[in-house]
Amino acid sequence: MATRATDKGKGKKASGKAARGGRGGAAPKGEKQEGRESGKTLLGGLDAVRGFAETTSRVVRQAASILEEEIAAGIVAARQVEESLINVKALRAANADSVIHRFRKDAHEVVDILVDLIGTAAKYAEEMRKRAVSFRVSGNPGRPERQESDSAPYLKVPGVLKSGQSVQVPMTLENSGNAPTEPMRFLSTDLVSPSGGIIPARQIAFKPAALTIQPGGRGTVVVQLKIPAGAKPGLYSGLVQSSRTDRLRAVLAVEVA
Amino acid sequence: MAHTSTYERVTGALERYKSLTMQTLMAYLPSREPKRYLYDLVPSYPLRAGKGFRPGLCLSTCSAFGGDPDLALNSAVAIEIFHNAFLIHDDVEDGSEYRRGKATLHVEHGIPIAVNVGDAMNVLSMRPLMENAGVLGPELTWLVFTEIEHMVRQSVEGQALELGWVRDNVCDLGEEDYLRMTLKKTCWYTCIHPCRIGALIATGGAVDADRFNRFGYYMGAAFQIQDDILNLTGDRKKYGKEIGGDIWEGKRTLILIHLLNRCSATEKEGLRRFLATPRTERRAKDVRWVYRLLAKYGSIESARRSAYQLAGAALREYHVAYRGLPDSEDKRFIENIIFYMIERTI
Repeated sequence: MATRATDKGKGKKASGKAARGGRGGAAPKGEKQEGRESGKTLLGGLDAVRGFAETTSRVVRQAASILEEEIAAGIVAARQVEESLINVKALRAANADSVIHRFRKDAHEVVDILVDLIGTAAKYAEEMRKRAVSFRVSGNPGRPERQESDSAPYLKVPGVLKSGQSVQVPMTLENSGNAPTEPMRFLSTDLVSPSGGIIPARQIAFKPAALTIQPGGRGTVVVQLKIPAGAKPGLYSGLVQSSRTDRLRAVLAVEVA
Repeated sequence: MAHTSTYERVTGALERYKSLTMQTLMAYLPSREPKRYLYDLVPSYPLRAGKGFRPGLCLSTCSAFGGDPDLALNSAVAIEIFHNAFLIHDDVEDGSEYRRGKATLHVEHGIPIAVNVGDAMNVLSMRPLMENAGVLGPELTWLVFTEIEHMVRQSVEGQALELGWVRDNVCDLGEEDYLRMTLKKTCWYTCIHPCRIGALIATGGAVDADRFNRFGYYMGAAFQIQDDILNLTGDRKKYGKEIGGDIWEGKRTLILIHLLNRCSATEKEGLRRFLATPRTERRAKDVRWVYRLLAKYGSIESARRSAYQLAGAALREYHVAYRGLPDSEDKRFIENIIFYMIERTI
């Protein structure tokens, strides 16, 4: 059984594991021992930590109290400020410019780079909205899955890429049906340009490899594209297709400099 | 023996997370002029032997919650770049000479250049956060950004408290003051936000991130106290900084605060005079006297006890924060890192 070394025992060898472990739990002079912690010795490592997990010491109680105060004063306040500045949901609305205008008006002291980020987010919100592929999965086996629109969404990689460059493009899928999807895998055709250039399908990967979307839910598959070295300049396009829903497809396009 | 293997498992996992983070981080660093005075110096701290707690916690939490850690990489990289920017500026503010076993950046290249490299790293950390928009979508990107904004603001506020106490030679501090300062300076950005961000990314923003606050705070405070102990008792080769630096700098650690509250009135007056002396004029024999007082009043042992108590509380909160998740290597890593935090020698 371990015994507790104390200040009073200065010069007196602590017995038991505390002494062997070199972590004698010398109680500071005047420190009040509390509850089950009393009589506990710092054994070192796992045992000591596990032992203290069963106690609530003064330092932990103080810490808990401070955290509550700070959260009340900090996070909540920050959220209130954030909510007063910008409605994130509005980023998905069509008129993103008005959101940015309001942000600039309300928070003119915020550095430009933050505004740039909002701008980027808003731009992507618009792009993401365009990229969203909505489809419905019927609950009845054997019935075909129906895509909301006959036209395939157009996934344009932002900017102009150079040969050898890699890019990731998220594609959001929405399941507006009432049944979860089977795990969907994705594949792509080669991308071709009007001048006959080809980006082989093996240059295109999808992450995650399989995606399941719950009824009414959304999922994102990231299209990973690497432009081969020596690719000719031009606008390349091809078809991205899901393995499970034969009408779920999108045109993937990328411009190479 | 079990302890040894736990320690090795944690260090092995930290190495893997760090390697993953560093590959992405290095890709974000510009390779253009001015190289000699800026961009060649930016990788200096990240390439040194840091532990990589922050990206490790972010990526492992993302994975433990069923997410793809690749999706959290940009955020982990941003946190790591911010961290290294803080370190550069901290070293200037504290007048530190060593960082991770080598001369600090300002000792090597002068204060103006070092401060500017720190500024550059703060700016460079924005890019991976902006890149999040293409991977996570706008809502989650914004959510992560608000987390980062809170993280950085808390850190600079905590740092301000610590610097102010030293400048004004504040000697009437209590344990509560230290815990508040540490929450702000260390815990939010070392533990709480990396976990919050990892889980938010894994769940598409659906998780209640507040579940990590207590866990991260207790673990972060245990980490910081252990850091303070190592600063006074560690092996300089392992620890990578000058031993006793906190006494030379007059840092208001839990250890020093304990001493100030326990020593005699005469000793306290002596301490007040020592702490009022500019760092460059402090003498080694006075530092040795402070060490003797710390031993006399058991201040280091008291701090070690607090670190263990907080680590125990972190372990309890771990079971709350990660409840209901399937067992996984990442989940076990997070549990084990609590032990590592207070057993580490680096």
